[in-house]
Amino acid sequence: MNRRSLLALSGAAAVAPLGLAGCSQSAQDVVAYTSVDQVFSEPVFQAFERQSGIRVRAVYDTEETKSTGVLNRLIAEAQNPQADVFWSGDPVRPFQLIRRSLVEPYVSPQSAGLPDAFKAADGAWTGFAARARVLLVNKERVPENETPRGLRDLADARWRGQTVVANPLFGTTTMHVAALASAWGEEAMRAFLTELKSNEVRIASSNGEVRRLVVAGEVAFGLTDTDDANEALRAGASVSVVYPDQDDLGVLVMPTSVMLMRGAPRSTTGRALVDYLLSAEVERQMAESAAHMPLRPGVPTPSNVRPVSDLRAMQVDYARVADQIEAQQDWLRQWVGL
Amino acid sequence: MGRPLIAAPRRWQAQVFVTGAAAVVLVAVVPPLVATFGQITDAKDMFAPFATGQTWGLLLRSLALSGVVTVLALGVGVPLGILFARAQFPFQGILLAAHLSVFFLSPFLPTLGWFHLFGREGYLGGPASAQILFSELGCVLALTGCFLPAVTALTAIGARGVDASLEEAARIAGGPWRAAAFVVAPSAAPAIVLAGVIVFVLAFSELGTPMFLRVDVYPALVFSRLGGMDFAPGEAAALALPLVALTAALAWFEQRLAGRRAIAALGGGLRARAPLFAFRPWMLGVGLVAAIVSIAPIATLLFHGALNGGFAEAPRWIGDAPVNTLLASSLAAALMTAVGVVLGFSLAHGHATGRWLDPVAALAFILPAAILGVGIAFAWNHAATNWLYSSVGILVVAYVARYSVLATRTIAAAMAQLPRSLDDAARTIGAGYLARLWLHLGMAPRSMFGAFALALVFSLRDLETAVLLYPPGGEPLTARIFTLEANGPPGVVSALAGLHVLITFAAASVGWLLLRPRSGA
Repeated sequence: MNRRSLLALSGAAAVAPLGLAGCSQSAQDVVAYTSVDQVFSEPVFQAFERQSGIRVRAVYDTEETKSTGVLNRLIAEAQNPQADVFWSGDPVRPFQLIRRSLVEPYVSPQSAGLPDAFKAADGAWTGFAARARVLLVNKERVPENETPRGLRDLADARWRGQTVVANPLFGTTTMHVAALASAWGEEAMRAFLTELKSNEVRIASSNGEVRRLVVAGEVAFGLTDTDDANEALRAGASVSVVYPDQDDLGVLVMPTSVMLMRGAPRSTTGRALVDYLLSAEVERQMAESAAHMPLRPGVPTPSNVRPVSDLRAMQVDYARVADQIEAQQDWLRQWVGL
Repeated sequence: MGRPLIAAPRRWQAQVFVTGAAAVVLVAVVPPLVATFGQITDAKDMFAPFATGQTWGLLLRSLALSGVVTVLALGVGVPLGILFARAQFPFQGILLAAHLSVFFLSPFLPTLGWFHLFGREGYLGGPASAQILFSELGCVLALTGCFLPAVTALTAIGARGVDASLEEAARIAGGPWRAAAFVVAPSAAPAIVLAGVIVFVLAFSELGTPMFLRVDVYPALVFSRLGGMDFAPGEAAALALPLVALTAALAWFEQRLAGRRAIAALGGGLRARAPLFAFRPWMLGVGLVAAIVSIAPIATLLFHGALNGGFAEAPRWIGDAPVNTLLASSLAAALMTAVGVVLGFSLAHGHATGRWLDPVAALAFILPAAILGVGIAFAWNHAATNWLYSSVGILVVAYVARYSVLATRTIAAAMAQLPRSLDDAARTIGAGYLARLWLHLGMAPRSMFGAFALALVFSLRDLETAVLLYPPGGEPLTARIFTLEANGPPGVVSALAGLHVLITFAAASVGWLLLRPRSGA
């Protein structure tokens, strides 16, 4: 080390942030935040880039915080929005943004083919490419004649300490718990979760970890999403997938949803990306790569999942579920122990 | 002691350099802290989180867990550091590099490696090993394995800085073991205490490993206020208040243990010296075990990656992440080293600026990363500073805010080992600030590389700070690994983790080439 090296080091370090700032943006680009798994969303963005020539600069969520990490970043950045588009992994998070007036309604021409139940009339959010909440069962640990059929099997004493759910403070489990409260009533939901705790259900950090624990045989079965279940099936794991409560409550169906952000710095390219995401081409791509269930008629359903039309689905008012999510957080924190 | 003879015309040197270095740290650290604690807007935010016993229980639990990890890491790492620094045995350098490698990764990844190894259906696993892994004991062992190399490395740096003549005299008088126990270890005390503080803080603030192993910890409580549906930064900031007290306690503890002058040294590393311990076969065995314990989870990840085609898939998924990581981390490390030289000198000599700046920077290191990350977003996301916030430069700011204390402390620890008479002599003959600074650097030549390497490694492995604020399209490799972890192709996460280790080694090697002591220096 000599003086010249030290001076060069100091000089380089001092001007670094300026240099880095200069090369951060290009003329034709769009900033997208997404809580859809990167492994599925990034190829979609890349296809858009090839087709449009617009560069997508994306921010992805980690599995542990899904979908709240990116959502909270959008809220924290509200005074100086960075994102043009938010592609949410579920249809409930948008309401957290809508209530804070952070969303710019936009009715995309591409939304015409999608069912009204999965989009807002004013274009605040539009749903497509759905997932469902399923039970992933390890076939080595669960005999076929004892395969669980519904959520209440998680609380069955026969499976004490052998089941797993993801932390309900994060991710789609938050929405699922809120949807149960809407369907059963809050008291019944709390009683159910208390039963789960008594039955020593394990709390995983994410749905991906639920999959990992079930595949590894750490537990007999667990509650997760269809895309996680599909990954286990693709990897050849000895598992089966149960769509719960098909004779009763129905399965929770969760479309991904897209919205344009208010004050988006690049609203023109943002609209172009929203249009592209809502196209049949993307639903097809999400079906093939991520086993998402298409909502648009005519797009083939992937082999590892069942078509939405064949399922008995829970009747869900997403706005009400969003309200319930905020109302239940304190109680859930105590349930989790945080 | 001679009379200080700093000539008036040279006083500007100290003023300019110290003010500049302090400004860098203050600009990086203070705005996020102010923004974070400014979120506490009412009494409910302040007191509600502490109304339940659960909060205090988790705090005590995390303190206990971190304490056990620190004691274990020090108990194993100090002897190991002295062995690697002052003994001589075959493959010593390779074994040390292998031992250090696990520290290059965010702890979650080695933990994932242990899971593939000792999980119920792991390569060596079964129900019993899985039960241990998914417990407090498993969490303690996993974290100790991850952080142990920090103790080894810093102890080794400290041990190599010990006065050669004192060490030789002690060896002749009492043999190598007594020399190690009564001269080498006490001389390296500042570095060892620094290592202990670092391990304690890292263990306390770690989130990924405890969450994965289903062990409830205090940072998860804080994180639940920032990552959950009810975004409550005010409550999260209030929950961070006990950590201010923890910072003060650690500063006091460190002062008690290492604040007094270490045994005077005459600049270890200036000249080659004979090893303290002659070769014995068991040394090779110990070195091998240390290397294997670190390498095992990484090798498992690599094996898992290779078995599942991860390396073939990796180029498709790695994107610009290595460039983003290397650019931001190396520039941040360079900045932290340059600042650390000035502030470390100041801290080692008890100057006021170094003393009051140190706890401020330490607080940014101790705070849960999520708190600091959100604070940086609040502080820097304005129209006027958008040029920085929306660029990779914000990662440089984040790394400097979080880790600058490490570079400063590393250099201060090395300089504190030098005899005060050296500086007195220089001042007596009228040496200016820069000349004295250069003199100290020359006497502790490895400290700069140590500081750079530490700052670089911490920046490269950072996940929790960066993941909350990386610029769109500018994600670092750690963030990419974690976002791909969800449903990524089998083996890709493992393969990317392996590449992350290689990149860190490469970056540290380049740093060594730039900053290594020149022969005869």
